[in-house]
Amino acid sequence: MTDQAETKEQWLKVNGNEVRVIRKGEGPPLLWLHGANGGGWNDFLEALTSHFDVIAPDHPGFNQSSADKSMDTIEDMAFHYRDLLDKLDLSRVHIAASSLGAWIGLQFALTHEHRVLSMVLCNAAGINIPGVRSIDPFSMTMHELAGQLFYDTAKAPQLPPLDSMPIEMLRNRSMHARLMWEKGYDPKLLPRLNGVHTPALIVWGEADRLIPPEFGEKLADAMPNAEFMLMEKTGHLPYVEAPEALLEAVIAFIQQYEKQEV
Amino acid sequence: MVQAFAFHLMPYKNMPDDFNETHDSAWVNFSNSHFDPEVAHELYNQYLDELEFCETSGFDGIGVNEHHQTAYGLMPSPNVMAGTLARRTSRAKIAILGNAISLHQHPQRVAEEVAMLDVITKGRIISGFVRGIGAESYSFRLDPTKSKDRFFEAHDIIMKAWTEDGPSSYHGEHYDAFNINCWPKPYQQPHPPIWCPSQGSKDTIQFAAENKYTYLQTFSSIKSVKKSFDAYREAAASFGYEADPSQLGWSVLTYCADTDEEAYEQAKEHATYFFDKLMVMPRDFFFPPGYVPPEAMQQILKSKAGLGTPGALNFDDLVEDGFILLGSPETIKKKLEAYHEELGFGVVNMNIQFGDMTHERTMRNIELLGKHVVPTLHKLTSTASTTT
Repeated sequence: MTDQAETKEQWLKVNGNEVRVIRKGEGPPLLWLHGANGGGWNDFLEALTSHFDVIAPDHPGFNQSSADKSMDTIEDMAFHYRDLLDKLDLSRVHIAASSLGAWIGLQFALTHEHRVLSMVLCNAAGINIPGVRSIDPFSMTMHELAGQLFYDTAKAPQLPPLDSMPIEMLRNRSMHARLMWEKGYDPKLLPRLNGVHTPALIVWGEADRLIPPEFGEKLADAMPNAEFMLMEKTGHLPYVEAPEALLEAVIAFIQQYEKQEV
Repeated sequence: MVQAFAFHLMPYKNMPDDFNETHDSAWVNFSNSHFDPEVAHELYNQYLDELEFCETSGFDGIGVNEHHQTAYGLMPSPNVMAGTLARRTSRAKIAILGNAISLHQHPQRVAEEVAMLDVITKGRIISGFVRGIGAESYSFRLDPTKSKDRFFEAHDIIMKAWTEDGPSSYHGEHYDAFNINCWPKPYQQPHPPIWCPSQGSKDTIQFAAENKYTYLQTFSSIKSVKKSFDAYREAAASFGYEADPSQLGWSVLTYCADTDEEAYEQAKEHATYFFDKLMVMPRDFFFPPGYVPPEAMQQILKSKAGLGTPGALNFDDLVEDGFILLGSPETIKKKLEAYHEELGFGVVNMNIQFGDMTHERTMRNIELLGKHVVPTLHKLTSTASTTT
């Protein structure tokens, strides 16, 4: 990991929630929306900082951010990001996102398309294709789920047993449940995305065992300005399993929609 | 006097011999391909005979409960079971322990069904409320992080349905009901007694004490029962009253045979089936995400260590710690007197069948308890309000 001296960790009060935002880098603003596996900082974000002003918040209820009881839907999360961007005085941003975060990004674009310059969405949650099997993240234990995340199963994290699991991981799983236990997808998302013209790169690890690539193709087909990119030998988390290739793709894609040099 | 209740879980008996080699759960995803309706037909009718026999044998009440999609208990609707007992019994209270009200989309349905039973039985119904165990969040895809809040709201709707002349309404975060107008109203006024079964949840104890509901501690060590009862008495005092013993119930697996040795051997056999097969599930099922606050999870998991894991619990420890009450009639009487002295309960809810206990043994258990133990319980007078 490169020098972290310029990393700025700040705490923002957004409505009823106290959220942590980690920010670093220079360039066009890039909002990172993390997946259900949790927020914080990572090597991929570090690499992005050479090209972007990376803004990495913990979603309310995840990691270090609090969530009041009213936060229980993807819509709540999307509206939270409207208010967070207001707090940061950012009118428009690029979005990069993974899984659950990608669903939040899509939901945000539905109502706030004018604030999204472009989106790079990896292995997005949020849609359902009747007859195509996806894995329900709550049909299995956290340990089993962790084993399904990677193409290279040797990379799967060895989680500690439930009774000694760090509270942050338990909070992430609990908030994940609050958002998705009763509503694993939104059947209205795909038809509504027909009207979202934001440039979008839909990235998919071809070996995703949770949400297969058909979902990504369907998503790219639904959005008028979307491209689809399949990543070989990659599972549900391209930013962990194929960070270099993803980084290249993100830079190239966003450059098309950014007047200044990236 | 201490009231004697007999309770049944109505387990499925014919689980595969190699269950422990091939499965890690008797709940949620233990396939119903293992369910044989012929077997279950016989079981249901034997179990109902057993509960009916409890009335004849002198018990003050009989109890049923609710669990879903499991071999552990075949009563997804406790109200159906109470319905079958309503017309076949005439004296005993029928305790529904309880309806899992958080699992209902329309709690008014529970209010209606319990009121029906109460009217049919001329006020013999005791209405227990629970929120459903963790595994049931998986069976019904109901958000475990909301189950407690839903419980309190569902409770409020049911109480409104029973105690207010309708139509009334309720507008909460989880339930939005209009035209609450329960036909029939309960026979008992203002409503049937409410019992709250729990394994020691602080919130439940507080809630029960605040509303003067009977708190029923299930499946726990004596040490933990004592802690909960003390907490209840303390909470009652904080609400400005002294808890009556009838507000404190203890639920325990109970097996009485002619001799101590016989009781020990036979109870051990059936308890093994209970703990090592019926109760087996991964801990994620016991405690789905957010079912208990993440901050409290580690401690709760440690206090429940071994639950659901085959072979993890030692039978002798379970007997010693008071999870299981067994012995000859004399031994059980003595133990109960001592526990009563220590705990100050006004209700003992005896699980008169557990695991794969045969019909014959269960009937003998009931007969002995009814003849020797129930009269002893009736003679006990409560002095214990001792909070040490």
